[in-house]
Amino acid sequence: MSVNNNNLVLEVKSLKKYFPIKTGFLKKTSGYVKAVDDVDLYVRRGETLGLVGESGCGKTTLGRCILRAIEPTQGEIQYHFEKGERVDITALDPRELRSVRKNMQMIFQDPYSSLDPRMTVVDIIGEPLVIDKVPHRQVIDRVRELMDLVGLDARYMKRYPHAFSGGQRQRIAVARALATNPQFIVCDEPVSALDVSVRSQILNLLLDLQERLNLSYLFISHDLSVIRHISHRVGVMYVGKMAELAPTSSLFGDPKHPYTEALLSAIPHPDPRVKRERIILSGEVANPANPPSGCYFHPRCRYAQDICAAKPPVWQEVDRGHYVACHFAAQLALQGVDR
Amino acid sequence: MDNNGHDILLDVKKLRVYFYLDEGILKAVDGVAYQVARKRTLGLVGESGCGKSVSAQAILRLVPKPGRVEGEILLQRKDGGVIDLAKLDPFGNEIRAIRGAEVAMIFQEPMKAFSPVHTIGDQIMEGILLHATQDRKEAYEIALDMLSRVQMSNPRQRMQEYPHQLSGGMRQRAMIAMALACRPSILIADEPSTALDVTVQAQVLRLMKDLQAEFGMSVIFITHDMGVIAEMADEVAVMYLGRIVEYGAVDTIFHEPTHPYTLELLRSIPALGREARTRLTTIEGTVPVPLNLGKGCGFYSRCKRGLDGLCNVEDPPYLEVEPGHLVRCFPQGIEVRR
Repeated sequence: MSVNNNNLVLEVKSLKKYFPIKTGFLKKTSGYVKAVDDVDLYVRRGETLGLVGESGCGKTTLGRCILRAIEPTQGEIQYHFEKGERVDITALDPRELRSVRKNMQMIFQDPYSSLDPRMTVVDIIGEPLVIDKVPHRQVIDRVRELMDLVGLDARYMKRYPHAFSGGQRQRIAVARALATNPQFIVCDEPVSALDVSVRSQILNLLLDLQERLNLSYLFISHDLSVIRHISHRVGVMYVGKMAELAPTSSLFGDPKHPYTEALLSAIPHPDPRVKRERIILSGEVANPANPPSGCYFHPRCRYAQDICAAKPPVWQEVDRGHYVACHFAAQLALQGVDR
Repeated sequence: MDNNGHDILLDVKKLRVYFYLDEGILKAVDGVAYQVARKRTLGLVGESGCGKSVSAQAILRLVPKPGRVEGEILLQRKDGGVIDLAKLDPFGNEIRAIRGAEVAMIFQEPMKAFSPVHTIGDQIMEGILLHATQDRKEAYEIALDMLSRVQMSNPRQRMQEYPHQLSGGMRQRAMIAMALACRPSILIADEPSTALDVTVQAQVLRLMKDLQAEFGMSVIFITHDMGVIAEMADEVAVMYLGRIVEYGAVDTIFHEPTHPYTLELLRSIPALGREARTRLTTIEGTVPVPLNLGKGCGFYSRCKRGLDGLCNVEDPPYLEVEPGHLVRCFPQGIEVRR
C-alpha cells in the first residue's frame, strides 16, 4: 500500500495470527486456525477505520493483535508518534511496549464484565495512571476531569460499577481508556450490548471525543448501520482475510466484493416501504481451521467461476483507496445500498 | 372479527404481570391489550425491561415465580372454542395441551432452549409424541419432515446429533422445526434472530416468512431491532415500561410515529440513507426500574415534550388518533406535534 506517511497513526503490514490446534496425548500440533491471515491496513490521524465481519471472522483477534494483547504470529505493526517517529510494536520488549501502550487503548463490548465489580469508579479510571506512577492528588484531579469529559457526574467517583446503568458503565470504560491521553483506541463492539436509545448516546460521545481530542479509532462491529455511521473508511473481513477496504461511501454505494454486496443486502432497514432485493447466502461461514481452496468465499459466491476455487485472489487497489481481494473485482457490477 | 375483517385468534385484554418482591411490586406488564389476527404478524418492540418478553411468556403461562398474571388472554382454539389462558393453572393439564400444540415459542438463545444431553431428533419428537401421535415411527417421520422443511442439510443425520454439534443458524432452524412440528396456530418468536450474524439472520427471517405462509399461522414477533420489525410485522406495538405506548400498522408506526418515544427511538438509530457521522438524536437518561411506580406517564422523565403538572400526575389516556392507530399520550402532547 502506498500512502502518505505523514498523517498516519498506525500501519499494519502482512499481519498473521495462527492459533495451533493441538490434538492427542502428546499435544502435537495438527493444524492451525488462521484467525488473521495476511492483513494490511492503515489508520490516519483523527480517522475512524471501521472493521466489520461476521462472528469468527477474526476482527477481534486483529484488534487485539494490534495492541499486542495477543502475540501476533508474523507481520509488522508500525505505530507513528505525533512528531513523526515510528516504532514496530511487534519488535518491542515488555518495558518499551508499556510506554508505547499509553498511546493505544481499548474499549470492550460488555461493560458488565469489563469493569471490576470490587473497584470503585475512581480506582477503575485511575488505574492506568497509578501504574504510570502519577501522584495520588493528580490522579483524583484527572479522574474528575475525565468523568466530566465523558458526561458522568464526578461526585459518584467513590461508587462501584453496579450502581451505574449499562450506558454509564460504557462511559466509565471510555474514561478509563482516555486516562493516559491515547492517540489511538481500539473499540471492540462498544455499543453492541447497549439498548437502542443508549447506543446513540455512546456513538455521539465517541464522535465528540474524536473531534475534541483528534483521536483515531479502529471500530470493530458486526452492525453495518453502526459502522456506516461512525467510520471514515471500512474494512470487511471474511475468515481471517480482508475482503474489501474502502472509504465508507464507496463501500456502501459501490461495493467491489460479492461478500460485501451480500452483507449490505442483508441489513434490515427500518422502513417497511423500502423493498430491496435480498441476496441470501447459502451455507455458513467457512471454518478457519479448514478453509476452502482458492478464494475462501467461493462456495457461497453466486459469481464464482473455476479460477475462484483454484487460486486465491490478490489484494489490489481498484480505485483510489478502494482495495479488494476478488478475481473479478473489475468486471462485476455489484449492487450497493446507498444512492 | 376486528374492524378490518381479520379473524382474531388471540385477544389479550388488560394483561398485568406483577412480581411481588420484598422491595415492592414490580409491574413488568401493566395493562397491555392487543389482538393477533389469523395469518398476521404482530411485532412487539421495545428496549430491555419494557415487558415485551414477559407479556409473551404470560400467554403460555411461563412467567417465573413471584410473578402473577391477571387480565384476560382469550385464545381461539383449533376446535373452535375460546379459552381464557389467564385463568388456567400454570402447571395444569389444560395449558400443557395448548403449549406446543396450539401456541409455540422460539427463543433467542437456541443453545439454552435445547437440552444438551438429548439428540435433536428426540427433542423434536418429544412434542409430537405428546400432542400428535403415540407411534414413535410416525413421530420420527414428522420430525424428519420438519427438519427438511426448515432446509436443514442432511436431516436424517441431524436427527442423531446433539445441539452442540450444530452451528448457531442450524440450531435456530432446529428450534423452528421443533416449534412448528405440531402445527401451532400461533408462534411466539422472542428475539429469534438477535444472536445470529446478518447473513444468517436474513436466511432465518426469510425461512420464517415462508413457513408462516405455508402453515397459515400467526406470529408474535418480539425484538428490539426496528429494522427487523419493519421487515417482519404487519402490526406493531411499541412498548415502554410495561405498557404499549403506540400501536398501529407497520407503515403508520414508521411513517407517522406519534408518541414521543416512538419518534425519538426512530430518530436515534443509525440507518442507511441517513447522513453519516452526524450526531444522533438521543433519548436522555435510561429506562427507570418499574418498581413502585406512581401515577403519570412512564416516559415523562425522558420526554422532551413532557408537561409538568399533567404528564407526571395523571396516567395518559390511550387515544385512537386514527382508526387502528392508538397512542398513549395526552391530546395536548399530540397536538403540539402536528
